[in-house]
Amino acid sequence: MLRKVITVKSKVSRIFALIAVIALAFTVVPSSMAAPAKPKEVRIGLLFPTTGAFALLGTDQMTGAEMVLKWANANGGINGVPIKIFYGDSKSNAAEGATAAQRMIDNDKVDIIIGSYSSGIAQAVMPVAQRNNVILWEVGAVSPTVNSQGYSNFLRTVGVSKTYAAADYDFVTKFLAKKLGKKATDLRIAIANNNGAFAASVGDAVNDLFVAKGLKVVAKEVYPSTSTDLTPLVLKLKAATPDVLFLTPDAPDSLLFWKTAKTQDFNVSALVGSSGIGGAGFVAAFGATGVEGVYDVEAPALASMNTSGLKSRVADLTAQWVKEFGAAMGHPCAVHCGDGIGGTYTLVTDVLPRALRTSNSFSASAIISSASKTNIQDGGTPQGFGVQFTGTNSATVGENTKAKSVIMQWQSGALKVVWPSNLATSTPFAPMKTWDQR
Amino acid sequence: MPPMFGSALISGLVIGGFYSLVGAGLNLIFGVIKIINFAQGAMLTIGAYLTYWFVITTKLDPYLALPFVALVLAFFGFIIQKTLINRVLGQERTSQLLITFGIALAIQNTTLALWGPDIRSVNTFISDKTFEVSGIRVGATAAMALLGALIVLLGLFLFLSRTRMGTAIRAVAQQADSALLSGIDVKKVYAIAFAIGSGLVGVASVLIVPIYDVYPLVGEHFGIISFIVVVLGGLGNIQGAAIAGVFLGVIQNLFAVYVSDSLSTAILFFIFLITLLFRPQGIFVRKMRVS
Repeated sequence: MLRKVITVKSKVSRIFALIAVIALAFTVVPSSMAAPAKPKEVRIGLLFPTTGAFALLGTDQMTGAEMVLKWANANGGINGVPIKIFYGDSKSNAAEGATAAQRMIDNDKVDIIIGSYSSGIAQAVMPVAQRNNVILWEVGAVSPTVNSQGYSNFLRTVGVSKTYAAADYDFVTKFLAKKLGKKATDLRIAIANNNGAFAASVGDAVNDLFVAKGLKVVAKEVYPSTSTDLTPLVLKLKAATPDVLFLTPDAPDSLLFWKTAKTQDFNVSALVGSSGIGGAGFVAAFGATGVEGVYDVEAPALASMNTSGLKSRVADLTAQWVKEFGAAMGHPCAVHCGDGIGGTYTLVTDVLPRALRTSNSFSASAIISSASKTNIQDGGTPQGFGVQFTGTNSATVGENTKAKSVIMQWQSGALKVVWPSNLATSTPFAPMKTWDQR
Repeated sequence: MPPMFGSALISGLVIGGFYSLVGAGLNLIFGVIKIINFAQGAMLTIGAYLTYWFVITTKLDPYLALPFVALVLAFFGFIIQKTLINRVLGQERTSQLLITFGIALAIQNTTLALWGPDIRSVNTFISDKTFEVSGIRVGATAAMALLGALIVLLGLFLFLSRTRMGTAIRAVAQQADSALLSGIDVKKVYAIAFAIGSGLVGVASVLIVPIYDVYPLVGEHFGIISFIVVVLGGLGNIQGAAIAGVFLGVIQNLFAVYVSDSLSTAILFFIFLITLLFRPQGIFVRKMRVS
């Protein structure tokens, strides 16, 4: 009887033991599936045009992004996970950009590609990133057509061309018209751009907005980006006698345009340019007097932005990077350097830490999920504007709804932010001097 | 003459002068050596950087760099012909095409490595001067470029038609085997023709720098257009290339003003295709040929 009781107890013990083992197995296996091991590193590829026609400003943008990645690494990476940086050169060519992206994905196994400076290149890189389930973190290209397909792996920190148009309209209606003594609707406005993806998207956005708002566009000219002579363009613009010209060129044609304008004695009360108009080469070519009063619309040039509105930590870091960039490159950290810094800052201080915290992963889905929760207020990034991305259910996917463009002006040889006033370091003036007065 | 038409015409002549210089050099090389030099545009870039370097180093006016840059590029062309081109002469066409293409890529990447992507500007003592007649305006640097191109091209014609070396070059261009039998050192003539073709690019680069600034791709577009110049002018036809260059420059600018600026480069390629289809020997072929 006693033996029988012992046998029964032994059987019960075995059953309990078996249940315990099964329960343990169930608790161990699901927990390992839910929380993968912490990544050893995050692999980020910098893909910019560092040779070819866009090399000048593409290198600036790449350098800005690189500085922030290195700073993050020096400060513990992404919550202890180091960043491994890889470099690619799109050679200022869309097809080369797509090939370089594929190479970085295949050989370097990058999780994220930061690019691209040029809209045409970004447009070619994006399908490659999507096909391979890699994120394209866009800090420079502004054409809305870059993600016209609505790819989910696209995230852009810089504003699209419509932000340029919005800043232009705001500036014309609230400042320029008054300063030039006319109603905004009476101003004669000319718009000119080359036929590259960036310039065309900005020129079209400005034209569409101005026409929709009832402003008087007296000329809309498009010229080839490879043009070796801009005399025809300047002659046609001169014949249209505009008060204000909105010009979107690339770097080399910026200088050629201004030289030709001088030769043909083409004067406007205000020129609002972009791209090379805000570059260091512009003032180097014409001197402070030669460029005095010319406006530039873009994301803010960090070296000449009022940082008092930034959060103190962001302002301190911005000052550090501006100094570091100037020492390394020999010219101030202007617009494109700022794009690289601003966009990458959001990635390494906001999106990636949250992805690691919530998903313990840097997979595309983890990054997209983390980016959907990004909500940085104005003053929270080096460029001054906040960050909040449109989601995959939106008409435009991965766009920063808080991105802004600002108006800058060449004053005494420096490009100063003059509009809006909360970011301004100087007061705008108009009209600018004619060629005879320079 | 309406000022807009006049200004567009004159600026077209100026740009055409550059096309002529670069195209004539390319055509000379093709006419004599029968090799297409894809490095012509890249050599223009070298000339532009040499001019910039000359100005920065000596603090002299860029136009004074003309003999220096022309000679250096001529020497460079001479060496390229002697050391690289000679090796592929007589081999299949693909090797000949690829070697000059390789030279072009090497030059582009070397200039980028040496000087970086920055755009560098050079001013001359006439940079601020403009001529105006009846509302037609032309910059002094453009006028200087047009004048320089005319003088150099005229000098080239005289050299080819009036000197013994010019006669030897034309003889080699027409029939290299016969020239060899008559005692002409054909390989030396090849090298001299390549040197002259490259020297013409050197002249063009000095004249271009005050107008277009200096950056790694400054010569690329001129190099591409020079192929249209060669086809239009007739392969090997120097005078035809000179006229074709000016013709293209004027057409490009007048088309830009009166028809469409955005299609003003495309129209050149359209002319190129039409010429290849209906008159592949070129439009200006009745004039002096080196072959």
